[in-house]
Amino acid sequence: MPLSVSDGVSAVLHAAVDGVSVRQNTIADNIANVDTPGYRATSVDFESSLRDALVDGELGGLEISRQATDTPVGANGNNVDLRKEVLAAVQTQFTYQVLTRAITDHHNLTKIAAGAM
Amino acid sequence: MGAFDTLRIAGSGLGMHQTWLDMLGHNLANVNTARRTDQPAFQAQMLIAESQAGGGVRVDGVALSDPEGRLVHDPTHPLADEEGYVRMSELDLASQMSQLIMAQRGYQASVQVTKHAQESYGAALQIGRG
Amino acid sequence: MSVSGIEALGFTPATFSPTLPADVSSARSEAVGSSGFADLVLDGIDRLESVQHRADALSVQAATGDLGAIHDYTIAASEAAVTTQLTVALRNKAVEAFTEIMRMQV
Repeated sequence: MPLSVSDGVSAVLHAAVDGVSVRQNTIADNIANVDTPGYRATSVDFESSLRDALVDGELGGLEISRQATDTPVGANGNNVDLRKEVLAAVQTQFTYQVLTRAITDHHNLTKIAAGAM
Repeated sequence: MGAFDTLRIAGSGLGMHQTWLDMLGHNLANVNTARRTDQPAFQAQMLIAESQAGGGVRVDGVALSDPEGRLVHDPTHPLADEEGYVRMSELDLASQMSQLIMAQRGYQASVQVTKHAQESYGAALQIGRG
Repeated sequence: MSVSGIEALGFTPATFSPTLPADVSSARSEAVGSSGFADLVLDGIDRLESVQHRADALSVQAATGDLGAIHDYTIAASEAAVTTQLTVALRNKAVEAFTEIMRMQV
């Protein structure tokens, strides 16, 4: 019987928060290199690995993969789509906040239960 | 620490774009700088940017425009030679202006990233509280 | 005794029958014989130590500048706090129940 809160939901949330962090860094990298000649933008996908793990029923190690995007390349070899990256940055930021909120709420359930005993 | 990578990466974007803006400002201030024909023309600075391993961008170096420049016939100019020519920079004003807009846009985008990073760190610190 | 919502966390609460046992001796053996619950509490204390240790280790990493992500520390710290709360609550309930049973003997 687990007396800590490290259960399945916690593992999923922690894994997702790790994935979102890598995504934030990747977007920051793309934006910093918006004017670097020859730079190719990358994007992060961890949701696929997470979904697969949920279907399998076990979360071993989450695969956070970073791949090249398919945005068109400009004259100087750069393919960063600034508008897309800026929107992604906003969305990722809120996703991170939702997840951290979810972790707190999840812990609070146990706190409330402990207090009610 | 790896925890602040986002800030570091965005900071590099700010640094590179700031340097670019400084160079463009320097170039634009000298767009009408004339030299004697026996001297090199004003050389515009051109930034060489390179992405960094581990994320971010850095200034890899500065290239200078052609010292040949272009000869302009202006006999009334105090620096004009016997034939009335002065050496002007081959600076293209339109190109410099459009680069200025790009540099500002790039700088602003990295500013936004630093704001997002701060909010994320704040959110992480709130875990378990309230 | 079951606390609603806790099952959803994968936490199976121990059940204590509130009814008086017919035989006094069997009541005593039930208190001592429920080593299942004692083990549960001890196991929980071990787990609590490891969770607290993990939070401490991460805080040291933060101090030395080796922390990979802020949320790694704050999640571990929050888990340690909740686990402590839970373990204390369970221990208190266990002591309370034991005391009540001991009172019944008299």
